[in-house]
Amino acid sequence: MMYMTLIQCSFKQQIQYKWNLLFHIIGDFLRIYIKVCIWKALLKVGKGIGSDFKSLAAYTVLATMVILLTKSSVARDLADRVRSGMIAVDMIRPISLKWYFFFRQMGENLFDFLFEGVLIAFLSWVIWDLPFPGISVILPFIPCLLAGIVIMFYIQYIFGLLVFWMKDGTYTNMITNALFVLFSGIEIPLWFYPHWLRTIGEFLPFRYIVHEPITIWLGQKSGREIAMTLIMQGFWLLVLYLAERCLWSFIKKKLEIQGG
Amino acid sequence: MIGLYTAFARISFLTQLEYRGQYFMRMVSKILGWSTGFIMLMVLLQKFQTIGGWSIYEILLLYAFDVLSYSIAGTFCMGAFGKLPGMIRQGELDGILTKPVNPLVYLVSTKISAGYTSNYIIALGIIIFSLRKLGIALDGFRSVWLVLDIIGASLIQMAGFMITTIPAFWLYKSDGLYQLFYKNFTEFLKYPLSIYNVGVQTLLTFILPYAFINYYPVQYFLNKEEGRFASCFMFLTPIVGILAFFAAYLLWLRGLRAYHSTGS
Repeated sequence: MMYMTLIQCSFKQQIQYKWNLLFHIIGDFLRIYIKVCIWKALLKVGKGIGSDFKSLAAYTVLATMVILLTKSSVARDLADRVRSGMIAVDMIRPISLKWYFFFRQMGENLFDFLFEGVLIAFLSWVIWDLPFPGISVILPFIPCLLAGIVIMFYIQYIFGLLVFWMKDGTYTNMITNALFVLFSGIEIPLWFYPHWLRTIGEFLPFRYIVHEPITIWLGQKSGREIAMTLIMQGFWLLVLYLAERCLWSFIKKKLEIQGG
Repeated sequence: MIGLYTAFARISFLTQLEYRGQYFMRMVSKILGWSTGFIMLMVLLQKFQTIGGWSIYEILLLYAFDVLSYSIAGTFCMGAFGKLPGMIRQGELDGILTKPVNPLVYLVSTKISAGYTSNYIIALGIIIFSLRKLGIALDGFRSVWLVLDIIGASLIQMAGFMITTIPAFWLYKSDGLYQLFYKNFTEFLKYPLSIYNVGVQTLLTFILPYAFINYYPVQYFLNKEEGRFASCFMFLTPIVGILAFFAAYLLWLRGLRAYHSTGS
């Protein structure tokens, strides 16, 4: 219940900026349009692409939705709190710092998704006449997408905690962002990657945020593969959870020493 | 007088170099930011070899023109105009207006950013490398023209920077304008303009003349004649640059005249 109130609050904050929302919608749509033009130009030459225009267009639109749902300012917020000392107050709140950040961010992202994402997706679906997958695909797609969102949040949060050593949130943010762009498939579907880069990506969690859910949506995965994907997501969630716990207890100890 | 401005610029450059650690981190994160974009472009190019009839090195030339001119513009404008809305809101601009020097030059020279130096080197390296790979020699006229094009392109970038942030004088908040009309629209420049539809081509040629940053001037070096518009466009970059910058300057003057301190 407490968490729902948090979501509501960030909703109300967002409504204040109507113009910004409009500019965002146009900007994000332009980005999709640019990508779609590239796919069209590449398909015209045509040899060896091995995928059709509609799945590439759908991939691009879905990737934009994932961005809307996973963006996060947790690194910057944490940095601000550490610098201003607010973090000490946060630690004694009756709500865990991690989940406080998570639900506040989710409120913001959900707002963007409902008022921006849905419109963009609808427009794109009409303009490029994209197909809808059946219920048997959507059913596994949703948990896979949600797990991806939580994985992304955990990564951002863990990198954000590094601020206790780095003192500045912008750089840690840039590093996570660079890794995300390189290995998640957010810009280009991973099947276009050269072999070596793809192999590196296999060992990282980023592909489970974007590439894997979208390929499920596009119907490129068999039932067995879908199950494997979900298991791998569970594995990464466990790893990230343990890493975050370790880091957090370490920080707590250190803070007590510092804070006196 | 000019000596004074260069002294301002030098000092602000040097203060940023003073904090070695921070400067280094900023450099690394800037390189990281650019290189992910670059790596993504290379992933696409190694897979397909050509985009819209342009080869790898031709696209790289487009890319480098954009990065170089953006970095030059960013050196001068990022500090001054990136923070302009905030300065207006907090009344910080008042301090600048009381100085007995041209406010624009004062603003720019005291807020010059040192973080783009790595970008110059990378972009220049890519330009030279691609020209060599394409077998294009930089003889006397070509190298002079290259410099003029880069200056013109940088002026266009600066104008884009300025025109989208100066409305803060009236609106107090203009982040959305900057994001959309500068950041988003220059994203078209990564690829040859001909892959987009006629509407976009017209828009980026006549209304927001960003196509003169790289698409048109690069065609001169590549002996291409592409686009629905006259082939003389490839020579217009320096002129468009001066005109765009002049328009931005006029807007700046109007903004200053309309400026009422928020008084806080």
